[in-house]
Amino acid sequence: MSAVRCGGYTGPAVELGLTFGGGGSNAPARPAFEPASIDDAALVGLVARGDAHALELIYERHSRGVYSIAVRLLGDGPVAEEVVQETFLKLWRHPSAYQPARGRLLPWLLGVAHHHAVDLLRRRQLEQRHRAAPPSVPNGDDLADALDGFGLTSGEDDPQLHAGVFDLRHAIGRALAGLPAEQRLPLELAYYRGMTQFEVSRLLEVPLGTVKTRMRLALQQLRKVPELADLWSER
Amino acid sequence: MAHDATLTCLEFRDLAAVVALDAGEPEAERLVEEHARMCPACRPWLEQFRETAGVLGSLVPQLEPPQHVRQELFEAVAREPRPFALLRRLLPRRAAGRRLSPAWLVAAASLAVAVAALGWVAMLQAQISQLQSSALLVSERAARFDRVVTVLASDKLSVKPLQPAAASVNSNGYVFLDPASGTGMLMCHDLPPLGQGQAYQIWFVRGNDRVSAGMLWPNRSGDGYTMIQIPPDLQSFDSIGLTVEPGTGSKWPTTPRVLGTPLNQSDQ
Repeated sequence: MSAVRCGGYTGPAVELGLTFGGGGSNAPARPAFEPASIDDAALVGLVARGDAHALELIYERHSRGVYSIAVRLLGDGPVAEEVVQETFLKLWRHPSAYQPARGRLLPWLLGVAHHHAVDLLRRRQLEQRHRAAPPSVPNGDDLADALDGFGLTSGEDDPQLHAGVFDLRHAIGRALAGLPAEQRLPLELAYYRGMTQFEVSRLLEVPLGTVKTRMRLALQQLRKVPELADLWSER
Repeated sequence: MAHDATLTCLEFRDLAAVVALDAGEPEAERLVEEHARMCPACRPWLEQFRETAGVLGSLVPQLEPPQHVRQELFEAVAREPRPFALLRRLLPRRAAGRRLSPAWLVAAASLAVAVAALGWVAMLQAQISQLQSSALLVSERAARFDRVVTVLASDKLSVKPLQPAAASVNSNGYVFLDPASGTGMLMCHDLPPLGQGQAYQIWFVRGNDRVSAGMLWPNRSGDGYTMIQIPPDLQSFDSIGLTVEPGTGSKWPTTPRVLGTPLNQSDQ
């Protein structure tokens, strides 16, 4: 077994197949390895050792997903870009926050990005209210827009996605479309519009407890998608 | 069931879905996190809801972030290297075959000199301590020889041979008594070996009276000498003798006499 060097890390080549640069003045500035051969968890392990090249590779793989969810919630512009920065900086500063045993990296990154984006969105809404703007009460048109769907994609336009993720997105997209409307709407309003449970309750004119239960039922239904259930059964 | 007074497991599951979708208030998030920490049965619900919600995020149309986002991100990363990476940069790596910088060489040399100086000082201190002990020992021996010389040079010196108390004992010796200084010396050869912690004790004998004159610790060959104190009324004592006693001395002889000599006989 030949050893490889990745920054200061020396490990077995068979495991990761890495030949990172950094060992001398003639070393390449960018990683010289086959990206697809390294899984995300191994890359996060390298990030934990301070390897910025590993973070670059993670960025290459997942920055589109992170940016896209930020744009979905905040629109394109510097605020969505800030979400991307903060998401990857969190991984750099606190790599142990991601636990491979608890899930895959992309959903975790999207969760971090979504949480940050929703936080910024609500702060922005709060500032708008403070500027004496009338409260944003959803009207019938909003609801109609919501019922028309959220412009979700099947992911066919994304050649960078791994085959497994591609299949998963397809499966989840189908499952989402197949949910009963009373379950799908609370979930979509919350996740893709960044609404709180109270706002969803008010918009749909259903009790708060009902909104919570419908959100849970929706997520439980999506978990039954075989591609997602398989991920859990593997752990 | 977790021991959480504010959230039951059933309530947790509904609220966990809300939190996973980021639709809860900060207080709801706190309650859910707290319950998940305390309840191993409920924790997977939150994790699975979160991953499911994360997959929902991948359904939106995919957009490429502007190039400057990447550039700014990695500039920020370069500005705040991780502690491990920083340590790795500071430590020299032999395997990399890099030459050590002059600063590293100076630091290493300073460290080596400091360590060597400390070792040298410690060695000197040990030597000084050893010399002090030797000087003290020599001084004590010189003082003892002075006393021996004083005794031997006395014009009132009385010398008496010591005789074994039993035929099986081959020991012999002399006792030197100087009534003028009240000091004497006892010298013995071939004394029987002693047990652990034992010594010979010298006694002046007068009827049923016994007065201790001192202790003798012979060497491994059974030879030795010691200075003894002579009682002022030496003439009233009948004899002098040695017995085996504990090293701390006894108030009264506890074993038979090994060597001895009468005091009222003429000097030899």
